[in-house]
Amino acid sequence: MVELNYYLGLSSILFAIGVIGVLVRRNAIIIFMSIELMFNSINLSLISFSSFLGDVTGQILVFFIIAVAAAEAAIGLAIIIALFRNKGTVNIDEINILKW
Amino acid sequence: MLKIFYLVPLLPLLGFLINFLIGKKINNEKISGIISSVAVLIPFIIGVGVLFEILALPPEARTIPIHYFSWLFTGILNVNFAYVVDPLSLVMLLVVTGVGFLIHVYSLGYMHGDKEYHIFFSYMNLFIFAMLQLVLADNFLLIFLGWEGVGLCSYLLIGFWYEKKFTGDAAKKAFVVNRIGDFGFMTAMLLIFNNFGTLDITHFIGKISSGVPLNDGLLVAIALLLFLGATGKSAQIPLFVWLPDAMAGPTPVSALIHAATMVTAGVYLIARVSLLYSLVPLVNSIILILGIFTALLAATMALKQNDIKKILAYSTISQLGFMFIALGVSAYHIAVFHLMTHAFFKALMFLGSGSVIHSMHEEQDIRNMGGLKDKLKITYITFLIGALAISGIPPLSGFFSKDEILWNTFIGSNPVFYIIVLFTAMLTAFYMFRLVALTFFGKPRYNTDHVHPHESPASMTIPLIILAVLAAIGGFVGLPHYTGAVNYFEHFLEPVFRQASTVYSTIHPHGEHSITLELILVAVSVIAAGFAAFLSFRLFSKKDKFENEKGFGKILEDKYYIDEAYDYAVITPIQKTSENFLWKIFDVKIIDGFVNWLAGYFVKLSADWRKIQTGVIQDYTTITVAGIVVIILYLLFL
Amino acid sequence: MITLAELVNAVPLLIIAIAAILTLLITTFFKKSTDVVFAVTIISLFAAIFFYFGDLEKDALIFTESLRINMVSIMFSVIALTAVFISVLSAKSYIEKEEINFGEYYSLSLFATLGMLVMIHSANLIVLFIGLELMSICFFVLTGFLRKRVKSNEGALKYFLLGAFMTGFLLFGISLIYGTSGTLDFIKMLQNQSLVKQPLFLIGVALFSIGFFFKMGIFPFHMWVPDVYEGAPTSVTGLMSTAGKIAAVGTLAPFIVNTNVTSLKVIFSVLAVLTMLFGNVIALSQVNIKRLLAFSSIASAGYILVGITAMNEFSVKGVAFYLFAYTFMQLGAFILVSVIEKPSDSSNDYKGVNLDDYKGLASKNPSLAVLLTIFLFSLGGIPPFAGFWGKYYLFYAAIKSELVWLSVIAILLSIISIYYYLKIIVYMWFSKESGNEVEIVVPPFASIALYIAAGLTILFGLFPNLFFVMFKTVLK
Repeated sequence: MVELNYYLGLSSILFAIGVIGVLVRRNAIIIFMSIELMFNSINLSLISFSSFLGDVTGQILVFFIIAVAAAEAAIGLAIIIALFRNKGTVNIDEINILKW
Repeated sequence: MLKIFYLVPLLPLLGFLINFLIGKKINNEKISGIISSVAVLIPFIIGVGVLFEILALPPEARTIPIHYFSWLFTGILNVNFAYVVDPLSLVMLLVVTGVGFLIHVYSLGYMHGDKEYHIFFSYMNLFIFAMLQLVLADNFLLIFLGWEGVGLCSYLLIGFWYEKKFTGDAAKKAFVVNRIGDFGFMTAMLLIFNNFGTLDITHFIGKISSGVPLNDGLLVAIALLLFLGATGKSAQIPLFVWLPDAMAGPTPVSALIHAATMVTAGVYLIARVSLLYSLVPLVNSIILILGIFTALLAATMALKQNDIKKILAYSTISQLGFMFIALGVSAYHIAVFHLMTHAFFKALMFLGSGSVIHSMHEEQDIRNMGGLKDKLKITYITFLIGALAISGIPPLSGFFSKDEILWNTFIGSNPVFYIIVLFTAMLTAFYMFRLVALTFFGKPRYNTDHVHPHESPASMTIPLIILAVLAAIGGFVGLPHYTGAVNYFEHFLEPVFRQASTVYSTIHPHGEHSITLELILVAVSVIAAGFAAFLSFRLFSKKDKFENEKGFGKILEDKYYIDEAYDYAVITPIQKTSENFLWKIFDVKIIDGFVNWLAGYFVKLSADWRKIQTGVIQDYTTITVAGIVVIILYLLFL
Repeated sequence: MITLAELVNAVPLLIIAIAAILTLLITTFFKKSTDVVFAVTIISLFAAIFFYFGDLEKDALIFTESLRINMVSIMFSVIALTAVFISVLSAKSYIEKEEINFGEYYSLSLFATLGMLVMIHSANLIVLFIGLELMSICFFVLTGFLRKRVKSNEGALKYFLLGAFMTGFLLFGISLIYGTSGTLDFIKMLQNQSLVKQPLFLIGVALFSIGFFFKMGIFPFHMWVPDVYEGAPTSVTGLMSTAGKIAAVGTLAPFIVNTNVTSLKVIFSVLAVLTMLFGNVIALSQVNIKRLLAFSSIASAGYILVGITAMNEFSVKGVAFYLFAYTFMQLGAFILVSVIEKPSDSSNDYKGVNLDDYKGLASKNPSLAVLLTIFLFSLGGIPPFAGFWGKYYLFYAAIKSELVWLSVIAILLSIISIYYYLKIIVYMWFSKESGNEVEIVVPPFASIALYIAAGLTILFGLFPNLFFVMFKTVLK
C-alpha cells in the first residue's frame, strides 16, 4: 500500500506548481487555470487524508470544492469576457488602471 | 432647587436643539438670542438656589451626589450618569452659567446682522451644556465626554466665520493640538480603570485615600497623563500654541471659551482630583515649574504683540500659568479663586476689546487706535477696571487672588521662583497698561474721516458694567488672613480639599509665618505692579509713531534717564527676545515646526508607501505569498 | 430527519433563501419588476431581523449538526443583516442613477446575505466553505455589475483572481486541520486540547485565518481592498466593506479566540500593527474618497484584529460592538459618497468621487455635510459617537490580556486617522466651492438610510449599553 506521505508529497508539488503559475504567468485565463490546479491538489490531499483516517467527511468536502470550482469558473470566465470586451486584452500587466 | 437640578444641563441642550433644528425657520434674531440666553440664565438661578441650600448644611454634608441613571453597564465597565454637587463644582457652575449668561447677552448685540445668528447661539448653548457636563460629572468618562464636547464646540466656534481661510486653519490647529492632550487623558483613564476597577471619581479617591506610598509609580503616571490632558485644554507649555490662533473666532467666543471657562478645565480637573496630586509631590514640582515657565514666557510674548486680542490671548496663557503655579504648590482653593476672578476680569477685557473692535469696524491693531477714551466712555472705564484688576492693584479682585499665589509660592517653594513670579506679575501690569495706553489714550491714529467710533449698544455695555463690578469687588469673598477678616471662599471650598491639604501639611510641615513678612511681600508686589503699570503708561500713552524702533528710544532719552536705562537694560532685550526668539523661533519654528514636520513626514511617507499598490495582480500575489511564507516559517521554526 | 423545531430555528435563513430565489425568478419572468423585487428584498431582510429577535433556541445544533444557532452567531447575523438592510435601502437610487437597475442586483445581495448567515452559523468547515464561497461569488459579480465600465471590470477581475487564489490557501489550511485533527467539526476540534501543540495544525489554523484576513483586509493580504473598493459600484463597496467584513470576523473571531495560542497571538499582533500603520499612512495621500475610505477600512480591520488578538472573553463583545458601530458609520459614509457621485455618462469612469468634489459641500447642502461630519468623527473615534466606544471596547480587551503596548500603538496610530478625516471635514466646511455645480438631490430611500445610520451612530454613542442589553433580551 502506498503511504500517505507520497500522496501528500504529490499534492504539495501540484499546489506549488499552481502557486508558481499564478505568480509568473501573465494571461488571466492561465492564472485562473493555475488556481484550479491548486484546488485539485487540495482535493487530492483531502481524499488521501479521508481514506487514511477512515472518515468520509473529507470526501464530501471534495465534492463541494468541485462544485464551487465549477461555479467560480463560470463567474470568472464571464468577468474575463466582460473585461476583454471593454479593454481588448486579458494580459494582467495591462490591467492596472486601479492603483496607488 | 436640587429637585429640579436636572434642568441645569437640560435647558442648554434644549436651547441648542431648538436653535440648531428650527432656528432657520424661526428666522428671528431676537427670539433665537433670547431662547438661548434664558437657557443659560435659568441654570444660573438654580445654581444660586442650590448655593443657599448648601450653605444651610454643615460643611461635611455639602457634597451631594445626584444619581440619574445607569449609563453604561456592560460587565466590563459600569458607569452611572451621576453628578456631584459640592462647593467646587458649584463655584464652577456659577462661573460658567453666570459669565456665560452675560456673554450671551453681549452676543445679542455683537452678532447682530450675522447671517448664521441662530447657529452661533446654538453652538454657544451646546458649549455651555458640554462645559456643565465637565464640571458636574462624578466620573472620568462623563468628564471626558464634556471635555471632548467643549473641544468640539471650540472647534466649531473658532471656525464660525469659515469664509476666511485663516479661521479654518486655526480651528484645525486647535483641534489637533487638543488631541495630543486627549491622548494623555484617555491613557490615564485606561490606567485608572485597569488598576482601580472604577472610573467614578469618588471611588477612585476613596481607593487612594489610605495606604498609598508617596510618589507611587502608577499614581505618578496617572497624574502626569492627566496633567498632559490639562496642558492641552488649558494651553500650557508645550501645548499652548493653539490659543493665540484661536482668536480668529468671534470675540464673545474668545471671552467665553478661550478666557473664562473652557481653558480653565485643566485647572478644574486637577483640583477635582487634588488628593491624587497631593500624593505625588514629584508631579507637583513639574506642574509648578511648567506653570512658572508658561506664565513668564506668555507674559514676555504679550509685550510685543499689536493685535488687541492676541495680547489678551497671551495674557490668558500667562494667567493660566499662575493658576498652575497655585496647583503646583498645592494651594488648590487659591487656584480656583484665581480662576474665578480671572473669569471676571478677562471676560470683561475680551468683551471690552470686542466693543472696541466693533466700533473701529473690525480693526484689531492697537497701533491704529488711540484716544478712544472719550468716544467709548463705558468701554474705557470698564476695561480700565479689568486692567487694574489683572495687574493686581488693590482692592480689585485680581489683587487678592494674585497676591495669594505669590505668597504661597514664597512659602511653598523657594525665593527664586517667587522672584520670577513677581517679575511676571510686573510684566502683566506692563503689557496691560501698554494696551490701555495705546488703545484709549494719545491721539487718534485711525483715519478720522472714515472711522467714527461710537459706543456699543446697551446689550453690550450692560454685561460690561456687571462684569466690571464683579471684577472690582469679586475679591472680597476671599480676603487674606492678614486682614483679620474671614476668608469665606477658602472656608467654603475647604471640605473639598481637606484630604489633600492634610496630606500636604504632613509632607511639608511649615511653621507659622509672621504677618509682618507677608505684609512686606504684599507691599513689594503692589509697588512693583504699580510701578510697572505707571512706567508702561508713561511710555506708551503719548506714543504715535511705530515704524522705527530706534526712534522710540530717543524720545524717551530726552525725558527720563531711568526710563531709558530701563528700556535698554530690560525692555528692549526682552522685547527683542520675545519677538525674535520666543515668538519667531520658539513658538513658530520649534513647536509649530515640529507639528508641521510630523504631519509632513507622514504625508511624505504615505506618498512613498502608496507605490506598493502597483495595481498589478502579480505584485499583489507575490506580497501575499511572501507574507504566508514568513508566517509558516515562523510557526515551523520558532 | 429534519424536525419542525430545527426549521423554526432556521426561519431567518429560510426567509433569506426563499426571498433570494423568489427575486431571481421574478426578475427572470417579469421585465420591469425591479420595484417589486426591491420591496420583496427589503421586507425579507426586515422579517429576518425580526425573527432573530423572536423565539429562537439559545444554543442549538440543527440540520445534522451543520448549523449552530447560539448567542454569538445570532449577534453577528443581526449585525450583518442590519448592514445589508441599510445598504440595499440606499442602493435603489444609486443603481437607477448608474443605469444598472436590474433585479439581479437585489437577488445577488440576498444570496450574498444567505452566504454570510450560513458562514456565521456554520458548525463545521464544509458548511463554512459553502457559505464563504456563496458570499464571495456574489460579491465578484456585484463588483463587476457596472459591466460597461472598465474600472468595474478590472475590480471584479482582481477580486476574483485574488479571492480564488486565497481560497486555495484557505482550503490548504482546512486540509491540514482535517489531516491533523481528523474532523471538520469545530466543536470536536476545540475539545481536543493536545492539537494546538502540533505545528501542522497551527499552520492549518494560520492558513485558515489568512483566508479570513484576506476578506477583512489585513496586511499583507489587503492588496485587493483599495482597488476593488474603488472599482466596484459605490453601493456594492458599502455592502462589501461592512457586511462582508462582519461575516468574515463573525465566523473567525468566535473560533479563534478559543484557541488562545501564544504563537498565533504574536503573529496576529504584528499583523494588526502593520495593518493599522499601513492603512492609516497610505490613506493620508489619497485623493479619491472611495480609495481613502478603503484604506481607512483597512485600518479598521487592524483595530478589529487588536481585539481578536486579545483572545479573551471581552474580544468577541468588543469586536461585535465595533462592527455594529462600524456598520453605521462606514456604510453612512459610503451612502453619502454614492449620493454625491454624479450620474453615469459616456466617459466610462466614476465622477464626483474625488476629495475636491467635497469642497464647499456645507454651503451646497448643509445637512449632508453634517451627516458626513458625524460619520467621519465617529470613524475617527471621537466621542460621543459610537465609533469611540467600538475602539474603546477593542483596546480594553487588549489591555485585559496584558497587551498594553498594542493598545497604546493602536491609539497612537488612530490619531493619524484624525488627520485625513479632518481633511475632508475642512474641505466641506472651510473650502470654497470649485466651479459651478449642479444641486445635489438626495433621493428619499437614501436619505432614510442616511438618517437611520446617523441616528444609530449617535444613539449608540450616547448609550453604548443599549447594544448589550439588546442582545441579552434576544438570548433570554
